Amino acid sequence: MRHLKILEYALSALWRRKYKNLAIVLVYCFTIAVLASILFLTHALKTEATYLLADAPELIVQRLFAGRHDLIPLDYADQIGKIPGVAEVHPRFWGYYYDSLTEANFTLLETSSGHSPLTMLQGDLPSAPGECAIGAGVAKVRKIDIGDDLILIDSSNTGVSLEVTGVFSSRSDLLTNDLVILGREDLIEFFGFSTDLATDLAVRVSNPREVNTIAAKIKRQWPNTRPISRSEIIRTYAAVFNWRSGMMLSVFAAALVAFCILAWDKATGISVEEKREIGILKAVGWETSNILELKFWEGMAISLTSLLLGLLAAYVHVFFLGATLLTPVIKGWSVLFPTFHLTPFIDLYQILVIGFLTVPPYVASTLIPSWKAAITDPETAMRG
Amino acid sequence: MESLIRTENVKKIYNARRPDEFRALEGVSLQVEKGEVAVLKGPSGSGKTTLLSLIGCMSRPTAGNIFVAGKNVSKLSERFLTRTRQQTFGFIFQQFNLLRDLSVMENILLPLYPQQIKISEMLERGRELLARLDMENKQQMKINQLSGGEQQRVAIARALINDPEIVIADEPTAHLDSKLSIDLLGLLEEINRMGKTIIIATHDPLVYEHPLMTRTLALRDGRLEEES
Repeated sequence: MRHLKILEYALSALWRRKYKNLAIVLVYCFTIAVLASILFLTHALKTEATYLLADAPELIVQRLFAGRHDLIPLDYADQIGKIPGVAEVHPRFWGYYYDSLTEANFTLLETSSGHSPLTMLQGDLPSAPGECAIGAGVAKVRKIDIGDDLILIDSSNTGVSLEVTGVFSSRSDLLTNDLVILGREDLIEFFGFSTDLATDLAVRVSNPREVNTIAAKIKRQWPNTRPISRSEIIRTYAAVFNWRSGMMLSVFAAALVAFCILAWDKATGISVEEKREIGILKAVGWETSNILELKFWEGMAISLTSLLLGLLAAYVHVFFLGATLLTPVIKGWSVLFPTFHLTPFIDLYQILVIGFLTVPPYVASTLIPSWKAAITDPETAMRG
Repeated sequence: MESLIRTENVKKIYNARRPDEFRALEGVSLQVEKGEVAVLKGPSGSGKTTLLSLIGCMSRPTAGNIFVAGKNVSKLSERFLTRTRQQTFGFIFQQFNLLRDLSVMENILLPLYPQQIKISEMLERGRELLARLDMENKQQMKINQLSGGEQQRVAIARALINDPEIVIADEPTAHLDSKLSIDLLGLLEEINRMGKTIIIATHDPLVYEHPLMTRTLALRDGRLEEES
């Protein structure tokens, strides 16, 4: 009961100094919101990438020419298929298309190169020539829907009209947002592929533990190829996003330092009024432990409120407003256009880290000066 | 029989062994019996407030002993000193020392927050005291909405909320006019009739010449000059 009464007093004390405390909450909340936004966005992008690649083939083989990705001859597929341990080799036909009308990049993919996790929001996959299915981002920027025509300019600068038969949905917007799926013949014709070439080869391996061995064999046999394993891609995504978030955190460190200075200033400089109040409380019979409990509740109330508001602001910023303030730095990836919405992924561990980095330092910065005032004679403390 | 309060050769030195050392008390010995109204008189800087704060367990003497109800409080740890202060003393400060942003009732109840007393009981005690001080209708008012005399009454109510054995008042009439000072003396008389021992520090003749005072102790330059 005693603790509840002290808590009640702490809350009323905060309310009495509401303008000062509101200012602290705002600064504190902003700091947490920026920190949490960076971590949420990085984590969400990494999770999106993991989803994207979950059903990707264990190995992708690209051909290199002059150090650049080039189309791969289809007869490589037959020869790779003969390597022991390779279950299946599947040529993939795909390419990027810059849509000057909307200034967005689309990914064009032929139906049989499809990703298994794709599910239709509405409609069907294309089954006949002249049909296509599109991602939600494409539908949005082109303002089209099922039954409408998607008109693209092919490699010979001729307009190609494709009827939209379906719009994709997926766990991950990143997976399908910029996607246009069409029949193989349509795609080959659209990009002007030579009939004996594919974009790359998807290799399925019977035993996932043999992926690296098979990749090494391919590289040895065809030195002009680049085998890329799924785990390498996932690691690369993680490294890129971690690096970018690290950069952001470094820049943000200045703001964090400013906040720490504010907290330290509060820690070392308790106001005369607060000192006087502590003196009065001591004089009327509050023990030092009671004062510390009071200040603990005050610090907890401010820091937890700021933490919750900061996390909420970060959540809204990243998952509802598309992380507008951070996207250019962390995504930084032109083919992601048209813009997509991240699926909310929150890691409890991250929230605990943010809480640990922000709440205890603030509570400590509240307790230390109060403790110093509380161990002073009430008479001295009352004089401020 | 043991006096309620007894001091033995009490000294208090501020900033000892520093250039700004100040010797506030130079060996004061006195005693106050239960039920008495004792007055410490003397000019400003004579050590009255320092002596009151030592007797009231708000600070410790540099040398000497202070006994409250037979217990030597001069060597008590901070925690027990606070307990003694909480259970034995009620304070009426010269500046009232009320929290301006709190209501009258909240100020009065301050000493009870860290105690195991139900809120309903706290409020009942507060209302009872306010009724006795004719301030029932002002319990929700903020301190800065009250006159000096009313603030003084709130300070008195806060001093009594714990039902202390000893009430200490430091210059209680310093901020009051003559009429309010006489009213205050009436209140102190009533408090004394409730069985409380009262110790007052003052340099106001209206107080120390009042017939209520049973013991007068005159301080000058940190020394007890006379006792009557």
